[in-house]
Amino acid sequence: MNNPYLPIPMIIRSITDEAATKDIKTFELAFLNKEDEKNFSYLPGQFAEISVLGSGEAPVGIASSPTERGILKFTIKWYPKGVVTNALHNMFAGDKIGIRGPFGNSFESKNIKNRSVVVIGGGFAFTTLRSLTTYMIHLNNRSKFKNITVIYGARSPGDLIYKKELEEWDKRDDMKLYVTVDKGDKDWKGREGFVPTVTGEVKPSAENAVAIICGPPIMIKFTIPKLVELGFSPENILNSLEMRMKCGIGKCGRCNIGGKYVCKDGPIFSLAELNDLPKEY
Amino acid sequence: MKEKILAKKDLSEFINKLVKEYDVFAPVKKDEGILFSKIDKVDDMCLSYSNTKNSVKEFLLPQSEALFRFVKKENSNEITDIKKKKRRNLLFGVRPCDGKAIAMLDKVFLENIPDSYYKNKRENILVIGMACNEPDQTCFCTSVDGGPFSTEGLDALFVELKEKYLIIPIAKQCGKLFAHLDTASQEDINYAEKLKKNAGKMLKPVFEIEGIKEKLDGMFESPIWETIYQKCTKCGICTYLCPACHCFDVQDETVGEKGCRVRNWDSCMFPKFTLHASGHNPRPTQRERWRQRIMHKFNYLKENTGLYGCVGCGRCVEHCPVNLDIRKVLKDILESK
Repeated sequence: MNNPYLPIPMIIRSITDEAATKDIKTFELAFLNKEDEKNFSYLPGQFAEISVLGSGEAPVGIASSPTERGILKFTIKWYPKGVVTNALHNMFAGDKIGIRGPFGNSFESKNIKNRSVVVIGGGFAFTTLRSLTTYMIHLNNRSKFKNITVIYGARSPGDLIYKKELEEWDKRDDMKLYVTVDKGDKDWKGREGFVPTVTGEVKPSAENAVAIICGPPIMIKFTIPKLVELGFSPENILNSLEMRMKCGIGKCGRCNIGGKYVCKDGPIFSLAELNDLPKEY
Repeated sequence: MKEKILAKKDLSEFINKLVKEYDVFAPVKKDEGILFSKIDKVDDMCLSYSNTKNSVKEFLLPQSEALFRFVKKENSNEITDIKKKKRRNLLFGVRPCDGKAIAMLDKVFLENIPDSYYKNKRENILVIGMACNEPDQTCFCTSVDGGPFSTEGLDALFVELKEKYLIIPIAKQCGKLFAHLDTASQEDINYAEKLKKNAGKMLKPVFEIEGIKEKLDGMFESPIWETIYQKCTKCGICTYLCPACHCFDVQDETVGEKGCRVRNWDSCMFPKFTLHASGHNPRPTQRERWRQRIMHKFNYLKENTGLYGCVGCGRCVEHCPVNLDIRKVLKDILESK
């Protein structure tokens, strides 16, 4: 019988520093067994439990897109008290780890196809949004979505992650990218301003559109009224939630918000769904 | 299968037969109290018990269970499976409340994505119940949809008559255990029925549970939670002894190079239960944790499985060091405006 607690063996292909603070790294993983690679099928928005033998497991959103064959990417912030993130941040390319998953629903489970998509991200919470954006603009998928707008902000230029991709996306004419920082430095030539303000200035159309927003709670709190002003209904505003988790399959009993489990009923919830749940997250 | 009869004097022979084929666990008197433990013969058992101190959930979800083993070597992530137990388990003398808890655990662990460790144990266990002729003071199964003669979650139920047991076979796999026994007479069945009525009378519901789920739907922000938790010392004994509580943690334990990934019972009463690595905790005080305990048992589980996460065994009532009585809490909730 299939054992949902056994990790799939993976090898770390590369580790990339994403931010000037050196505490956010992207781990590119490859499958050690071809069979596992074939069976691992996921969609943007899903997550996996990363397993480091001797340290344990931690749930992390998948930052790669299913269109990037053969690899999986996870962007992981180091937390001084996080046992697994500490272990990961002390590893090297070539080290072996494990993953379980994919778990949870996906952005696509929330009716985003054949519509315009507004992606709004803040700081390091851009990981599954990177997955989604990469997925949507892929040759095979671009026609399945109407206008694609990405608004991405961080505190400072050094806090922006995925800089290489941001540059590439900026050159494309089939999507609009707005990158902003709260405060620039002497080399910064781009936009300055908070994400909610920039969202208000960009004024993405709400017509047949869905807005997907991930970031610090304060950013989400001030961006939602802007979206409502622009005509986005609560059904068309999506969030991705995080919770302490263990099993990932709705058994261990700790990631619930009301009767919903973030691991299996989420992590993607519409604002309408969240409005019906207790405020315990 | 029809009801069967086993004379008390023949119980020893019956148990001896079981022991040959199964690892048999039954109530045993120990220093710590009456515990479900392995027995070899009928004399090991203590049959004058209201209920065991530990619930039988540990036979399906052990307090600490190895998921797999590994050796921490340079650049290796190889793991080895845990060897499965060869002999099947048989639990004898399970009270109907614990049986009902198994029925609820089955819904959580076998439905949607089945939990392979639980499933394997569940498929290799027989659960033989013992009806409660004389419920204890802390019992309240009839208040939470149960009963002292309930058969839910059990494979067979024994009812103690004067000099014999009436056996009610429930699951097919029990058939061969009782095939050789005499069929019960109508007189025996009637007598068991009388005992059932009698036990029911002793256990009048202390509150009307019907509608508690709907009532709790609107009570998340109720001021009632401000008072309920105040005495609580966060010891977690209520959740550890509860036959229905099943929340678990997963941790890696290592000694030198050798390691093991284990799952351990956890408790919503503990502050770390929901603590994020970032330091954020969505349930920062005992108020939210008590609310979670009540909501999980009487609202969320009811919504997700159709069953309550409380079977009225009374262990939490009996063992809480500060006498926090869940019956009183539920009564207060049901009577609140």
